[in-house]
Amino acid sequence: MTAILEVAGITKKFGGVLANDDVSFSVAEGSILGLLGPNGAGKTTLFNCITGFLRADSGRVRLAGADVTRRSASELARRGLVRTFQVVRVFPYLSAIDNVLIGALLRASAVGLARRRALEILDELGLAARAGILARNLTTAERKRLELARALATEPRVVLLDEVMSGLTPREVAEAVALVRGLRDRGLTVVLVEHVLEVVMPLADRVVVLEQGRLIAEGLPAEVARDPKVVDAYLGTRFARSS
Amino acid sequence: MTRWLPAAALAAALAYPFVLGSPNAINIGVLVLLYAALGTAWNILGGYAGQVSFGHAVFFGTGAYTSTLLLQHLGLTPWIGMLAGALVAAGLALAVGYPTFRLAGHYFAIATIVVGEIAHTLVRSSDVVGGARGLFLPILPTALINYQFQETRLPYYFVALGLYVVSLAVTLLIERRRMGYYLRAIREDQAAARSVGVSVPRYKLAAGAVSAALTALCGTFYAQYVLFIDADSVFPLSLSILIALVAILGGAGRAYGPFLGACVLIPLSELTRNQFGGTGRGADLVIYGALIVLVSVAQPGGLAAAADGLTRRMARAS
Repeated sequence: MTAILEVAGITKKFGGVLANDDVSFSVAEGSILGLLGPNGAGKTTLFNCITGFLRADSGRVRLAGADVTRRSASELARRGLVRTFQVVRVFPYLSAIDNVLIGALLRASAVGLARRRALEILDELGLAARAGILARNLTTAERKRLELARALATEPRVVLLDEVMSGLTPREVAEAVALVRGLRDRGLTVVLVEHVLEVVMPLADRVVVLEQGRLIAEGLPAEVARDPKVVDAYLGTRFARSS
Repeated sequence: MTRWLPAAALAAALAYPFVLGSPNAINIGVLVLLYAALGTAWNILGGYAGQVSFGHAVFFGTGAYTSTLLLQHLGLTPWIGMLAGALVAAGLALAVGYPTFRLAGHYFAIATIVVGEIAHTLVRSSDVVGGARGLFLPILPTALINYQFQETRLPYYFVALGLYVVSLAVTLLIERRRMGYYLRAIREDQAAARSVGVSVPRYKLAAGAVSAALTALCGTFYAQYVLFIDADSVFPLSLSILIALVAILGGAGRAYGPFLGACVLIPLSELTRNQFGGTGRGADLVIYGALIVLVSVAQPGGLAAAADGLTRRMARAS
């Protein structure tokens, strides 16, 4: 399988804090990559650097073979790389359908076509009944799904999901897991940021782990879960020794 | 019921000067339509795109000065001068917008005040454009080509109505198209807009240019209507604020909002000014202030939102 997204040597400093330190990994087309790490490990910063929301101090990003380092977020969306946000960002005073329609406008030549596409996607994600409701009046889980619907409406090749599961009830998490699997089955590539191991491990094809800005492990979920460095990062040294 | 409402409003606007034909009534009608047109132009940038400007007098003044200078120096008909003013204003909006649109929220609003005050001071102190003395327009015989109507002010009323209709038509055209959706996305959440491929700077600049051009058209109209302009009458901060107020009070981000805002604010301002005369200077400002407080507490969506709610309730009741 070919790598659709390649990240090489990303470094990002905020003042004296090294948020990302020479991070490199690649994602195979049509796979799910789990990006793990405890809170504050630099996952969201890395996301922002990859998706054009922050400028990395150094390092390169390649999308489908093309160098897209320092491209704007909107340019990356046009090239098929979209993201969702850790703290959900919908258009609060627009209806659910208009939220998704705005995403669909990226590929649709006219508003009417975008509206039709948006309705299809809302239906796929089980939000059709909520189409006319202002985004701000939806539940947290619905807003997360709406954000995903809006991202999918841009017809991406790679989606980066920043903690789509956080703040959801166990039942909603199960639904979200099925949803992410469905994306891969459609041929999309997914990068999933989570800090909860239990969610990512059964879902991801491969996993990379960040700690204090550095990549400390990479591999199959089962391997990585046994890696002493990972156990250490999550549970502390005492548990790592005794296990 | 909302289908025939615009048509009914247009009919009422056409009939108004014939029903209430006094010069004073026509003057108020002209001012209402002028501010409705200005508020509607402002609304494209301030309401739909959410970039609140307190500097729109710059574009108004640019329109007024461009057509007047072209008339004085080249004898160019103000109709062409009006289009030239619109182009200059659009260019100015692009030049000023390029750096200022990077500023977020309040900082953008502050920058527009600064730009407005700089323009005001520059024009007042530049002798090439008349400086503090201002510019008197040459009095020409009444003719459409001259954009001057001496015997009756009625033609001005219809020109103002035309300006408003143009502003509204442009707004409705934008609202239903890609640009309208993208502007609203920018207003709602810029980062989210970027994430789905919206080129935020480009659409802000486009909205700014269109808004400025429409505002400049009104500036030329004002010059032709009053036949005297100076920096204090077409570039002041108070004008920028009134333009924004008309739109916000009426309902920012709603196509018909600024018209409603102008219908309430302008007659009120004229009335209080007549009532209190010279001694009551500022009475209209007190009333504006009170209205803003009232609207922001009771109906933040403005008069248009209140009207929407009312028609919906009536529709449900019938």
